[in-house]
Amino acid sequence: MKNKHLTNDSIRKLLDHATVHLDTTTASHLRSARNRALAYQAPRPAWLDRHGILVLATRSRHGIPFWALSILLAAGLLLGTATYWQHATEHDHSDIDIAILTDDLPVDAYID
Amino acid sequence: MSSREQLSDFLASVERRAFKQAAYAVRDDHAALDIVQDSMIKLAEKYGDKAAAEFPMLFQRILQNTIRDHYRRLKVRTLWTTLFSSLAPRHEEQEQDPLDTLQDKTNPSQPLQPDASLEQAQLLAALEEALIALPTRQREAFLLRYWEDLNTAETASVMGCSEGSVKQHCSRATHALAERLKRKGISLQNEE
Repeated sequence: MKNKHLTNDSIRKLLDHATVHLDTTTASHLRSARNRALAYQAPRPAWLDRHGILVLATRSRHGIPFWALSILLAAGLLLGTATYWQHATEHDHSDIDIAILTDDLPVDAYID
Repeated sequence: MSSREQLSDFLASVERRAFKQAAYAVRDDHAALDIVQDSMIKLAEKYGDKAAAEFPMLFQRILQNTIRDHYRRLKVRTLWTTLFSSLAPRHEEQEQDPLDTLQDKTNPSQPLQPDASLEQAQLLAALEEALIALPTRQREAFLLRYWEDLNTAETASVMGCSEGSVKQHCSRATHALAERLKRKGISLQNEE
């Protein structure tokens, strides 16, 4: 074998050729190794789809979309907070009680 | 974030080249298979949730590190083996059979394929022999630059050295390869 020339491109092609013609046993071992490695892949969080986008449009067990449930929950919380606050301010006479006990009621408290 | 399919496709595309790289480095097909498997597992376990575009660089870094780990373990094992073998009494049956270490010098890692042309097979055998004879860092730099097609910066990142070192390793590798191949009547024309 004389006067042969190798360039970077021909070296790459020769090495690629070597990988294409691997013996079947080695190729089979590599396939098994790949499958074994895939079993170790870090799991994707359930709240991200395969594009990494936050998943919101899924349904609950009863077929109601989760976004609808979230809105209902938020509305319920708001209503509950408003009711509690209204009730708390309506029946809060603690300042009047304190004024009576300290004899510090304003003059117009005695006017009917 | 990559899917299982994307990771599988990537591993399928690199497994053979990775095996050859490891085989050239460690000169042992069984060890090379273990190295490739370990590298694939590390990629899947630690970086399986990364974007698929990041896999090539990550895998190369893992592969080269795993090859280096193999050398370190081999060095330690050889040290202990040498130590204990020098202390143990010699028995005739324990003498190593020279035939066990006889290697096919023309094609150490792959048998000649019947369908490949003789000239191509001879060229490949000569090239592989020359690559295996290179010092580790020179071979690493050469294969990453000219086979894996990484640029200087990417190669430096994988090898954990400066770009200047990469250029030096590549230059020395090219000269060493050219010298070895010249003895077999093959000239190396560097296109750079």
